[in-house]
Amino acid sequence: MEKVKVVIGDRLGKGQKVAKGVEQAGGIPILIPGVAADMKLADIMHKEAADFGISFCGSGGAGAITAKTKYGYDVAFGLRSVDAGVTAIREGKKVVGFGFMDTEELGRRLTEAYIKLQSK
Amino acid sequence: MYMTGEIIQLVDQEIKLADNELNDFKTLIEAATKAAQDVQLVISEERLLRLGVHLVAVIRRANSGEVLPPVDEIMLQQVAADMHDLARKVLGATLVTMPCQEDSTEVLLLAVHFAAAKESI
Repeated sequence: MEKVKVVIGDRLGKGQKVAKGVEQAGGIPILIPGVAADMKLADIMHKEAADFGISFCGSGGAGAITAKTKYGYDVAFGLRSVDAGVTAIREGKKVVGFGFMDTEELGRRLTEAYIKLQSK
Repeated sequence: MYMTGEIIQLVDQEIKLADNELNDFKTLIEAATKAAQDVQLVISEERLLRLGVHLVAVIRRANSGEVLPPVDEIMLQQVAADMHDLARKVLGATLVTMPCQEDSTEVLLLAVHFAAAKESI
């Protein structure tokens, strides 16, 4: 089975801990560098044929909406907890948007949830 | 340049605006498009949608009392001062119930939208 590819775009160029969490779960993180990274999320996901993406910008909405309107990805944003993100992944969302939550747990658990979903 | 009504429709299609958010959103989006126009900043439809969605989130944070975590000085310096001014001007157009124009995190997040449009990110 191919490794899960996860794109991370943070408005303020963060997301390093989330990327580490993705790796811990056995995924491949693609961390977009620099400010306004969330605005590039949809294009990078498309280019890399990523499995899912994580957007951070206060609500995660801007990156998620671009992904939805430009590529038709199923999205959920304004999420406030790791559990809410896991639920969204289980529901088949391809982009999940949060305020700011640069934690390893988030990257790890979302990736684990995605892997579990694929193995069903 | 898009008319306010078109932008509202565009954003409302994607994220349903509640009745009590409509006035604030109209105020903010008008202020944002005017601020951009004043400095000859062209904002594409895609960017405008992103900006609109961001402004709705600003309104929702203000209404719920949510405060974003502070950002450090180095992060604030990543975006040019004139873009901060533009963002502050837009947030300053909001109503008294939304005192977010002095919140440096809110200002920065909005400033990035203008900076991205300026630098074609």
